[in-house]
Amino acid sequence: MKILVVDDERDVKLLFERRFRREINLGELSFAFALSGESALELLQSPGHDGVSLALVDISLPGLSGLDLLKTSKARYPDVQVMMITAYGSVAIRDRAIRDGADGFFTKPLDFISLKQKLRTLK
Amino acid sequence: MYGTQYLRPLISLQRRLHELALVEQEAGHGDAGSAEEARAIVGAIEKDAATLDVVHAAFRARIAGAGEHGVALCREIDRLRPGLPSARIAASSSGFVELREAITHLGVASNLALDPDLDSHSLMMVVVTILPTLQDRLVRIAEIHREGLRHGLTEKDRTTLAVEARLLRQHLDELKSTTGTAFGSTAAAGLQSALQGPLAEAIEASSAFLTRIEHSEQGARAEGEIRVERAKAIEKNEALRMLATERLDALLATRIDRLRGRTAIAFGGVALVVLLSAALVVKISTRLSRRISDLAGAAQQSIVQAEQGEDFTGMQIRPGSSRDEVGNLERSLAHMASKVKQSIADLRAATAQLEQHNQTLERKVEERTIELTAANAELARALDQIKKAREQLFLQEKMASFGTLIAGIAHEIQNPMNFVCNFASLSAELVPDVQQALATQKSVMNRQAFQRMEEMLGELAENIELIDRHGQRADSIVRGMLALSGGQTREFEDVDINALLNKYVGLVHHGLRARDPGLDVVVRQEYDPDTGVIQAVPQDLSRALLNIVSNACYAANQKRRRTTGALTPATAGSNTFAPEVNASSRNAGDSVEVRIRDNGNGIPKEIRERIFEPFFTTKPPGQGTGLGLSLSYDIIVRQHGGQLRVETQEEQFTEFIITLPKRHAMDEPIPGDS
Repeated sequence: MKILVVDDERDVKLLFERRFRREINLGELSFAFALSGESALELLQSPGHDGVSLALVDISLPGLSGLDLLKTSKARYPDVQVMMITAYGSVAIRDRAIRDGADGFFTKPLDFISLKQKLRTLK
Repeated sequence: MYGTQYLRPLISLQRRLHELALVEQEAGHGDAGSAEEARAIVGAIEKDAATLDVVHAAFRARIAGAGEHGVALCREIDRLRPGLPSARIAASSSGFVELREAITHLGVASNLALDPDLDSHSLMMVVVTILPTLQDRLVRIAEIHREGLRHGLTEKDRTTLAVEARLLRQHLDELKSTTGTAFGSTAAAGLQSALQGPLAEAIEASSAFLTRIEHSEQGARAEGEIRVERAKAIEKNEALRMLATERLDALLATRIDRLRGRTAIAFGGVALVVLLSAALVVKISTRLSRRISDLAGAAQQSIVQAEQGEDFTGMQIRPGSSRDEVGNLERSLAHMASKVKQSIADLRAATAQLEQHNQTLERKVEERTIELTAANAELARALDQIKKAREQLFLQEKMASFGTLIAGIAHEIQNPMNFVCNFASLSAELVPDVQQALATQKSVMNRQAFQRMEEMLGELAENIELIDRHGQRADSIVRGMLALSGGQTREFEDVDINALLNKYVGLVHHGLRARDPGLDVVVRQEYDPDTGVIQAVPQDLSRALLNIVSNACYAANQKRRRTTGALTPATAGSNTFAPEVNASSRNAGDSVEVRIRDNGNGIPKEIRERIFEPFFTTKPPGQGTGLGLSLSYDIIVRQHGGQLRVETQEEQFTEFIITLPKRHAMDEPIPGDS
């Protein structure tokens, strides 16, 4: 399964690669990274979404926000699952994200144990 | 006036009549001069009578004229005073007509009293004048006959006798005619009865004597007879003359007395007319005056009664009140007074009713006042609750913005905390692997070095654990901040806005230069010295100003960077763009206007509406939270009741315009609050 991580924090890539080192090494998971919503949409619009079946999107993004990306992605590519990540998990934002079709919701600091459990349910 | 005009000829007439009586007495004694004088007096009397006629005619004309003048006067009054009832005008008119008629009747009566006597008197004068002439002629005829008898009648004597006889006949006829006329007058009835017999007898005797003289051609023969006859005739004539004179004297005396009496009556009548007229006028005016005075008194009394609130008795009308205009006025006023009385009675009844209503109303007002007081108390409680609710709401709004701030902080902290915690965790996971790998190298390593490595790994594991633990602690602190974000309030105080601007604009400028030595933005400050102090929360307001000024400096500097970056080394020297930020203030009466302007690239049209949204930012990660403007908006608009708007032109400038009220009104609705 290929996961697209959309976050304007560059170190996220390193964090995910290290957290999922074993899964990556086993070939169970692969990752793509985008620093903005716009670049994420560019990737998703490539044939077969470049193999991406799940996007983990930070809500706070410069330009196109995470919630905008969720709506656009769900409208254009409904086969791609989208899970939201936010540093401040207010109920209102969570509700809005769920209403717009989010498949999951995580808060920072990311609890990778919970995230891995969630990913396992998708496999 | 007419009395005087009447009086003068009447007095003259009376005097002449008296003179005439004396003259006639003398004439009665055969004085021919007296007869002449009597004629002259009669002529004068006739003149006086004519004068009286003229005066009387003039009087009549004036009376008629007065009546017409009265009517015209009434019409004039009617024209001038259209409000007067026409009945009163008609009454006035008829009054004048009655007055005129009364005067006319009196005039006619006086005229009748005067005229017949004057006429009979004139006739009597004629009779008195003719009788001596007749006697003289008879004497003269007798003298001729006596001389003829003595000397024989000559032809001349005969002719003279014939002429005298003819003249005597004429006189007799004249006397007959005159007495007939005189006796035809009703007023001369007494004279007729007194004189008719003797006069007729005298005339008859004279006529018979004359006939006898005419037929006594042989007078001589009958001289003795004639003498006797003549003596008889003379005696008879004398007796007759005496009788006639006596009777005439008596009659004249009686007539003069009566005439005097009548004159007096006439004078009295005229005087009476005058007096009656005057009395009538006085009476009418007095009566009118009294009646009007009574009316005025009654009206005045009514006014006093009405003013003093006494019982209004109204106006009493005498029974049988006249039907003239004053009577009409009395009746009208009495009617009006009765109406007023009725109205006053109605008014009193209405006042009593009103008083009753007032009492009822006062009672109801008292009841309503009690209810209103209770309602007011309820309202005051409700108002108090509303105020509290509003304060709570304001606080909630404030906390919402504060919460937004906290959310921004949390976001900014949680992102690095995410890495701290996760990388610490990863590092902690690595320690056992390293320890395991080290254990495999134990046999080949220096023992001391191996022990040192094990200690260091243990210390590393411990440090990582501490990092993780404190990371978790920081996370819990942030979450705690979120939980405790409500409740902190700050007090409004008098703030010198110019001083605050000066302090924070300088702080931002120096702070940015300290972080970025390449920053060469020129900051200009133009503050209006009249702005004075405003009520604000300086900590919050300074944060808002700090955000806006920081953005301005950033935008201006960004444009410089871009411009410089686009330049080639050859053209670098020609870069004339000078980044600039202007901060200014202006006193706007009840408020202060602050403008922060930069000459940066402006705000693109498509994002202008989003610049106040929380988390919206155009800055790269780490340089902006996207909360600065939204926080500034919250502080200026929601907290301080001011306005924050932006004017911008792409590639030219951006200007934030802040309007702050000088006095903070906690109870007033918060602008922008919906």
